[in-house]
Amino acid sequence: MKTELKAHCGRAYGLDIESSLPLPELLPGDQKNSDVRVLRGRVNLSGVPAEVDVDRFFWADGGHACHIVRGVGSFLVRDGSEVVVDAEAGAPEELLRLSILGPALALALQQRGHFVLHASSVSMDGQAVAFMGAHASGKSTLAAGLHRLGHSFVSDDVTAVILDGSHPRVVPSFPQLKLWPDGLRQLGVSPEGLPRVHPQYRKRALRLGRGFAASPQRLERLYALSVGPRIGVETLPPTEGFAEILRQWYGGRFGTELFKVIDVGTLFRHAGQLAREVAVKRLVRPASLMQDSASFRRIERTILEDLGETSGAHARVDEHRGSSRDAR
Amino acid sequence: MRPDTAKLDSSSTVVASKAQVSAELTADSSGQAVILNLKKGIYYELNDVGASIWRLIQEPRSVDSVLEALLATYEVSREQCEADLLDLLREMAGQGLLEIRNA
Repeated sequence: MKTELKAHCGRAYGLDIESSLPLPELLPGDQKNSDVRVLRGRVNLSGVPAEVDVDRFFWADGGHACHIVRGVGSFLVRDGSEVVVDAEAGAPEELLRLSILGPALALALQQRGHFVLHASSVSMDGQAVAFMGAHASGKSTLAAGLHRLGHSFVSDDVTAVILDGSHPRVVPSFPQLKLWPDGLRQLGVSPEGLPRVHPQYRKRALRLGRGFAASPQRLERLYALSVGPRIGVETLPPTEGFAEILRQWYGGRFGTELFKVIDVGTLFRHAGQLAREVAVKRLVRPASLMQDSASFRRIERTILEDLGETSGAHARVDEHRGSSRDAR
Repeated sequence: MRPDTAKLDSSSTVVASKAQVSAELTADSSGQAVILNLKKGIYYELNDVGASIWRLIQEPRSVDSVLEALLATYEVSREQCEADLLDLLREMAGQGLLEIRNA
């Protein structure tokens, strides 16, 4: 009698994921559908250049991209639909999940045609804003802070943008953020009360029970984060906005290997399309926010005012329609 | 084809090279643009005027007709415009972004 292993089903980025490892961070998935399979297996590294003395390595070939984390394992992402996890002996599952739900999923999303940014995003009254920035730039803290003020969380660290004939939209990921202890304290949350992302890492996992966006959200702003004495939004010349988008394209973290298999011309044109269709601005705020909700309220107000330039136009159209109806 | 910048003058025909990809950065295609040199893997930024010139040479065009189009759009003397235009086109040719075709 054949024993069948029950697969774990979860949902993230609009994809039903069938996994042989538990992925408790994800939303419940559809057992009858499987867009992406995550399975344990052997990754053949014989074609990869000789060992380099770094913790992370990456190689790409055709529709395959492999991210290697020494001490954890190799993660082969195939054609946007399969992630093969070749774990090193004794590698803890929390670390495997960090790679699966981070770089591996980002590669799958890229392979599936999304424009993937190193960014965190929230949706405010149906208008999504994304905060672009490198590690420890504060993007997760900002997203978490706005979520606590009642806005819908969309994504943390890996932001997938749909670029098609309609206005660009960000895809809801799964309801978890990874936050540094300092960021948590700024939010008024005690880091000690939350599980570590991994016993050796300082970041904590914040799982959200509510306020998670249910469907793709219209992307209205891309904010490049920077530090300054006062909270404010600065406009950027289009060429600078474009440069920021390229800088925060998620694939850039893998060095130049990924450029061997992607169409660089297409990436360039997509980055241009994103810069053209979504306003890219700079969001400035003090390096260490005060430990109270007033700071996040000020940031919230600043962003809403900036968005108001767009929604103000919608409001005027609605008023006009309203008055036409009244006249009848 | 090796760009021969010595032979660029008003009677030359120029066209954007095939070894590049470009993108408009404003919705109405009236502002800045960027060009990726596919061979070198570096990209260039064009301001509004540079971008409008770039738009004009997506199809083969004589330098003179580009000059006339610019003079119709911008308030500038013919001499200044021609000098600036030839400078930009020479720079683009030197970077492999455009081809020069002489009669």
